[in-house]
Amino acid sequence: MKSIARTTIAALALALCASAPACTPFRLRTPDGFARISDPRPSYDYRALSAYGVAVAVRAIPNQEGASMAFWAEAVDRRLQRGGAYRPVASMDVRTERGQVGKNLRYSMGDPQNSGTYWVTVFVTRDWVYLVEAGGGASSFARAQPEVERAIRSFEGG
Amino acid sequence: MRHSLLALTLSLSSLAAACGANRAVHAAPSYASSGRAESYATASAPSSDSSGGDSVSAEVRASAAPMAAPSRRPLAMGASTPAAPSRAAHGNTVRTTAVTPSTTEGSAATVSQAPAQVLLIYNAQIVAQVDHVPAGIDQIIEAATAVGGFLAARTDTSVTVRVPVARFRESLGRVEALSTVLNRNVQAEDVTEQFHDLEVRLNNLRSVQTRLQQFLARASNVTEALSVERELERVGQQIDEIEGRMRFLSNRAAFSTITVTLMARPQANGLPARPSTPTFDPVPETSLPFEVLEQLGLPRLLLSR
Repeated sequence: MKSIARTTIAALALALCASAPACTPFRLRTPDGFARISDPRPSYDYRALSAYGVAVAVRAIPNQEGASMAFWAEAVDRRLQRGGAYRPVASMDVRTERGQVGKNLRYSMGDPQNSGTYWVTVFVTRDWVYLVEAGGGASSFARAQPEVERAIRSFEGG
Repeated sequence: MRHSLLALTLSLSSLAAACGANRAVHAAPSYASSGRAESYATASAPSSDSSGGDSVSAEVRASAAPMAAPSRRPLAMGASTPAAPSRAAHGNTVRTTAVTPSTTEGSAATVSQAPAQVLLIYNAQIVAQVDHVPAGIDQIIEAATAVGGFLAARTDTSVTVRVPVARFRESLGRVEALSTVLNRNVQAEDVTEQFHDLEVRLNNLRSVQTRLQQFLARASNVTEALSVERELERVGQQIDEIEGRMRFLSNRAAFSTITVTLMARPQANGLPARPSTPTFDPVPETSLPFEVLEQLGLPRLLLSR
């Protein structure tokens, strides 16, 4: 009797998880020196902040169109460069610890005395598109960069 | 206990009084041009040709001539300003000059006896005609980038760029060369006194801070310590505010702002001119139907709520 109840609860939990948008199948190790925000803004599925104002966040979007990583990387790049506020710094392929390949797009913004750094890393699987965003003031971000890179490498999307 | 608090209150009052007195002394108007806002605005009829534009340019160059006058020399700001190290690191210079009362009175005897640092914030608004507005905007952005400037804002018909102050005149010239100028307004706001006043207040507050820290070290009980700490916090906040304001002013002075509003050059029949080189109508821009793309950006990422 007990085992039936346990199985039913587990099945219900799985069903709820599958239907909830926040329950997207990805994992990212919170960088050292960052705190995961337990109640992230609705548009983010994950968000962590450092005391110095550097943020790392993940958005997971259902890949209903089945678009490729190249498409999403170009769409993101075009969107960011459209207004002229984001200056492209670099674009490179990244490989996670689990071997997942993504595209890391790096930008700077603001004036030379008050500049910011903004990265978007795109991972695409058959069912999901993941946008891993990271950014902050240029000097703060430079300090946190190794940890941010480590977090991106720890990403695992299902 | 009561005696200690009384002594502390008296000491704080005397510190505050000293701060005010110092400020009054240092804020004496030693800059003849302080608080001055120079405005040079000219206008010509929309049908003016390039010669009309030249005369306008000449007027502006004449009015802008003090920027290049021999007695004015660009120097890196002294180390007495908190923002100086960062500017030095970026290689930016803030225009400084020796201004004497005779200069402002138009006398030829411009003697720089005691060079003073002058912080000028340059702003230029230009209305101009070009054959093709989007292309004109792109060319202005490129011209600004070429002199080490950057894009600050852009709309369909106007663009704001910020350029290093040392290249301000050159940038204006480049913009004028790309278009037919209809209206030009160049303003130089002198914030020297404001900056100097902030500097004096900062120094005084730092002295107060040091004295308070000494008081704190000597505090004999918790009540005294808390009282001094409250004062320290208040002074610390004031120091932060002043430093922020000084950074803002330095930044505004290091980079001049040029706003250009463009309109299509009309033809003889009153219709907007076709571009001189044949071009195709712009292809409508497709916007991708993914809301998430519109939500990207650093400000949103960093906002706490």
